This record gives sequence, C-alpha cells and structure tokens, in this order.
Amino acid sequence: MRQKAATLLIGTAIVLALLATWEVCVRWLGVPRFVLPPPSEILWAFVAQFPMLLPHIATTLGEIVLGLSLAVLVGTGLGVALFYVPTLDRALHPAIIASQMIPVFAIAPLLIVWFGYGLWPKVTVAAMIGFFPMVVNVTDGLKSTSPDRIDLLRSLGATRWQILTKLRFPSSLPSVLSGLKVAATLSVVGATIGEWVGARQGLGYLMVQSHSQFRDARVFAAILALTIVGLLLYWAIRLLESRLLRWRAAAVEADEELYGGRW
Amino acid sequence: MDTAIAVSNLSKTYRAAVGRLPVLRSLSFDVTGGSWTTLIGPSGCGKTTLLRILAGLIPADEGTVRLDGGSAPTAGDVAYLPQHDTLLPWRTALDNAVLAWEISGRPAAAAHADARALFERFGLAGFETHYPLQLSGGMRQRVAVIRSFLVDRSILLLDEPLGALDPLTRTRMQDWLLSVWSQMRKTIVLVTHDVEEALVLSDKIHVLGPRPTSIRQTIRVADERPRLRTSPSFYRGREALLRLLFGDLP
Repeated sequence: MRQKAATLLIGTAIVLALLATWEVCVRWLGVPRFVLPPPSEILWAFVAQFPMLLPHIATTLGEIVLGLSLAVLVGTGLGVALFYVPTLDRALHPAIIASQMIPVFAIAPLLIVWFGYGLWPKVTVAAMIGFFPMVVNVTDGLKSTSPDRIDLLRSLGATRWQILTKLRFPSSLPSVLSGLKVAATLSVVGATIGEWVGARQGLGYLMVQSHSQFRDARVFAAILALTIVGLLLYWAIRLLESRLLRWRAAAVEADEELYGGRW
Repeated sequence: MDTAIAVSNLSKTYRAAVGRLPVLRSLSFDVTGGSWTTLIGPSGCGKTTLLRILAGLIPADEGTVRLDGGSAPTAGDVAYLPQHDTLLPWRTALDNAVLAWEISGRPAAAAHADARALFERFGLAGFETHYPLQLSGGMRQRVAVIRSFLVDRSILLLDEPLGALDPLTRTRMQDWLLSVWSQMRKTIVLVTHDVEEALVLSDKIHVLGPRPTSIRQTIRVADERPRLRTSPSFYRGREALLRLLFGDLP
C-alpha cells in the first residue's frame, strides 16, 4: 500500500515537473503559439473542446479496438497454424517478415483507394502492424512448452486438442500477453496513421485539420486524447494479465518478501 | 501373481544430429502385478528412456514390452510421473490433482470431491487452493504423487519423484510414499539414484550398468514393510547395492 502511494507520487511529480519546465520555457522564451503552445493552453483546449473531441475519440477507439481484435484473431490463428505445420512456417516466414518491412505510410493511401474513406483502411493498417507481435509471441509461446509436461499429458491419454488447450495455450500465455501489449500500442499508432492519410473523422484527422489551420493547441489536445486512449487500453491489458497470470504474481510477491525485495 | 509388464530384449539407439547414441541394450525383466520394482543406476544411463518406452511415449528399436501378457503399451495405458515440471503452475494444487480425471471427461464436481478427500487423507489438507509456486518442494511432490496415484491405471511409473528434495524431506517422503501405496495398491516401477530409497520401498531392485545400459544384477528384498533403516539386513542390502554400483568398496 505504501509502495503504491510512493509510485503514484513519483509518477505525478515527474510529469508535473516536465510540464512546469515546458510551461516556463515557452512563456519566458516567448515561443509563438503555433510553434509550441504551453501545456496550460493545451489542457484548457482539451477541457473546453472535450464535447467536440468526443466523437473523434469514439471513432479512433473503434478503429483501434477493431484493428487490435483482427490482429489478435489473425495473429493467433496464424501463430497456431505455423506452429503445427512447419512447412507452412518455412514457406510464409519471408512473407510475414516482409509485411513488416513495407512502410505503412506507403500503402495506407492504396488502402484508401481500395476501401474508401471509411473505417476499414484504418482497421487494416492497425491490424497489419499489430498482428506481427502476436504471431511471433504465439508461436514462440507454443514452442516453449516443457517436454516433460507434454509427456505427462500424453501419458494421461490426452488428445492433441487437449494438449493444445490444457497445456500449450496456458504455457504460452505469458508470451502471448507480452505480444498483446506491444500489439495494442502499435494498433493505436496504426489507426492514427490510417486517419492521417485520409479520413472524415477521428483524432488523426483532427490533428491534420488543426495543424493546417495553425491551431496547435488543438493538435496537442488531440494527442493528449490519443495518449489517454492508449494508456487506458494498455491498463486494460495489464489488468487482464494480472487476472490470467495470478499464479505467477502470487509467487513473485512471496519471493520478494522472502528475499527482502527485488534483486 | 501375474506378470504386469514383460520386457524382453529391449534396445534403443538415439540417432541425433551429433551421431548415434546407443542407450538400451537387450534389456529384459518382468514386473509382477502389485509389486514395487526399482531401477537404480548411474546418472544418464537411460533409465528415463526405458520408462518412456514402458509408458508407450516412444518406440523401442528392438525387443518387446507387453502389458498383462497382451499388447504393447501406447500412450495413455500406463500412468507416468516425469522427472521435471510435474505440476502445471497455472493450476491450483487441487486442479492439478484432478487433471487425469478432467482429461478422461469425468464430471468436475465429483472429481474435486474425491481429490479433496485424498488431500485430507494424505496430509495435504489446507493446500487445495495454493499454486505450485507457493508450495515447498516436498508439498509439490506430494501433490504430483497423489495425482499419479489417482490416474485410473493399474501401473504407475515414477521417474525420480523425490530426486530434487533434501535428504531429510526425502526420508520423510519415502515413508509417506509407502503409506500412499499401501492404501492405493498399484504396480510401481520407480527410477532412483538413492540406494536407501530403493531398499525401503522395493520388492525387486534392478541394478543398471552405464550406457548402453542393461541389467547388471537383480536384488530381491523380502523384509516386511515398513523397514527399519538401521537393521542389520538393511545394512547388508546397502552394502550389496553399493558394491554393484561402484565396484569394490574400501
């Protein structure tokens, strides 16, 4: 409990110190508003224009959630398939790596040509960069299953499916959840890039619009909104992780108490 | 008593990328139903390979294994407790114990009730909802052993179940293992490095040679259980086993 309070205090202090420095510098040096607005103005813009921001937040959040879900579905499915069919793994490996080498910025305009200005180009971009950490972490996680535990399940007469669901999936969970955390942050970036290239609504669209009108406080207000969305998503996954990996957390806590801290 | 496992002329060679590794060479022995057989031998001699063949997890190159005078084992015919990672860390002790029943499709409520009763009977009460990482080494092995005993198979293969424990816990666990076995009789094949353990528990001890291994000699232990670790006949058995394992003693 005391530790939690300390964490909160330190985090808040660091952020406040940075914001104060920013505020003071901008005001003292007389930086023009359209170059860099002070944080107080950004916060004011965020609060004052929150009703206007809300539909944009909703649009972007929808794209992120859909894109991430698609990334998780495709990534997990592909990861399992690559694990069980090594030939497929060898055949597709170069293509999967190549898909991450293509700059998303280069194909995002093409996606607009193909799918129009609506939801799907953004969802596709978010899913495209989000699925990679999922594939990698799912296959690596499935491979990391202990051979002795496989022996144990086989000796109990378990089927391949039972070994997958009762052993390989739970074994891979720590790795998969790490992948999910990376995928979630990437999907936020992906949705924004999708909007940047062409959209009618969303935080990325708002940034482009406001920027062209020299309304920099609103650009930053949109960035603030996006950051909050990203953080909430990340915390949601952390919460899921602490639920699913309760068995590990309990042991780590017990160990740290036993050894007087983290060494 | 009938023969539960008949092993004859078993040979196995691993063909790894680094070269051929002969592990078992014409190994033959019989296991009587309901008896306790122990395999003891130098480390790395192929004991685990032998158990995995008996469990039907890997095939032998030559020779045969027959269960109850009939067919060769396939995975699922025989209960097997591997040496490492015996518990699933994401399951509580009780959920680990019912794993076998869960796989065979037994209703969860009945399985949990039965496992709870066994926890009570064998000194595990109060640990049902603990995760393996929260248990001591000895407790963890107790859970693993109980789980193996409640697999509905007449034969149980144990690969060094007490190997990772300190000598004091180990001695206590040997007595505990014996009390479990006396109440839930099964045909046991145990692999161990520990001479005392072999003498306390077994009806028959097969001493294995270095790789490629075969049976060097078989010792029968006829003394009534529970056996006194300080009796003259126990010392004689100890000496005989050590001589077989290490050659002449000073």
